[in-house]
Amino acid sequence: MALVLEPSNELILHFVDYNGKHATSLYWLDETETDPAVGGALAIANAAQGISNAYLSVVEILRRARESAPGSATAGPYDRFSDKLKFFFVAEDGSPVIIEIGSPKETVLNTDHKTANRSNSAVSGFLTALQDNAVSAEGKAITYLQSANRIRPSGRKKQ
Amino acid sequence: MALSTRVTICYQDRYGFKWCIGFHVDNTVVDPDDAKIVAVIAAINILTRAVNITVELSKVNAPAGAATSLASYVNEDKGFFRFTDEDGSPHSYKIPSLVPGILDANTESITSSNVLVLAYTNAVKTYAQGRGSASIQVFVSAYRKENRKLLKR
Repeated sequence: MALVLEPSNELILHFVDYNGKHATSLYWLDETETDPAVGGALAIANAAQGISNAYLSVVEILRRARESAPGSATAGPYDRFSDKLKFFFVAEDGSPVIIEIGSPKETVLNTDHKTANRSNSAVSGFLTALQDNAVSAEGKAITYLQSANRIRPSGRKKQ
Repeated sequence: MALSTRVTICYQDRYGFKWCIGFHVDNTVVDPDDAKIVAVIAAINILTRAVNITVELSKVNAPAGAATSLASYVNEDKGFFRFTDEDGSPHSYKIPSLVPGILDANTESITSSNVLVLAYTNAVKTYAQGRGSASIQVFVSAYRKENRKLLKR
């Protein structure tokens, strides 16, 4: 299993006109163009702004990779994507970080089948992985797990 | 530059349905296969029966500025710029809310010799490429469109 990078990065210029309407302009750049504030992204953004009366609000670069050998999803009582385990984390500035994991393994749940077992190594390992590697949208560290509950698919009241 | 980089990882369940998770990493991360992202994916893989299929990393920069008030053309009005790549395949790019000064007297075609238009077409030819990495080489033509339909007025 390995992540294979796409040969080009996508550049999206987000324009907003005086009436507040949004429009985008799309390009592909060399995979070495990773910073939207310099290089080819900046050059195209500046040149595009030069011929537009709209406000260039955001310059975005998207980099994509695909798993070369993803394997096969396995069967279980909650194996559908609409069965989700909703994690509610809190960052150091108090902001919420919400992540919903689809198709959760039943082994990570408590006996009520509704809440995640915090002492399960997969659950605690997920918290540790986020604390060590992820941040909130504002760049703040993730501090603790407030709750983790299973979300039932809509239309299924009991199971 | 944004305070963080958004990562979107997509999974597929055993019925073929796809779902995605978004989270943020610090803004120094530039590779989808960065160790920080791989570590989070590994932790999620233990929690789920689905399999990871794609990773998308979004880096954003917000330039300072403001839209021109009472502009002649709004975002529905687009400049349609046509190019070809090194293999002769066509590529087109749209710029919204055109500056009136780059239009010909007929207000439909765009003056390709205009200095602002030249700056744009040269930037595209220098830096843009096709998704498969074929470089954009030739500027073909440019004209104004509104909602994908040519204006007649």
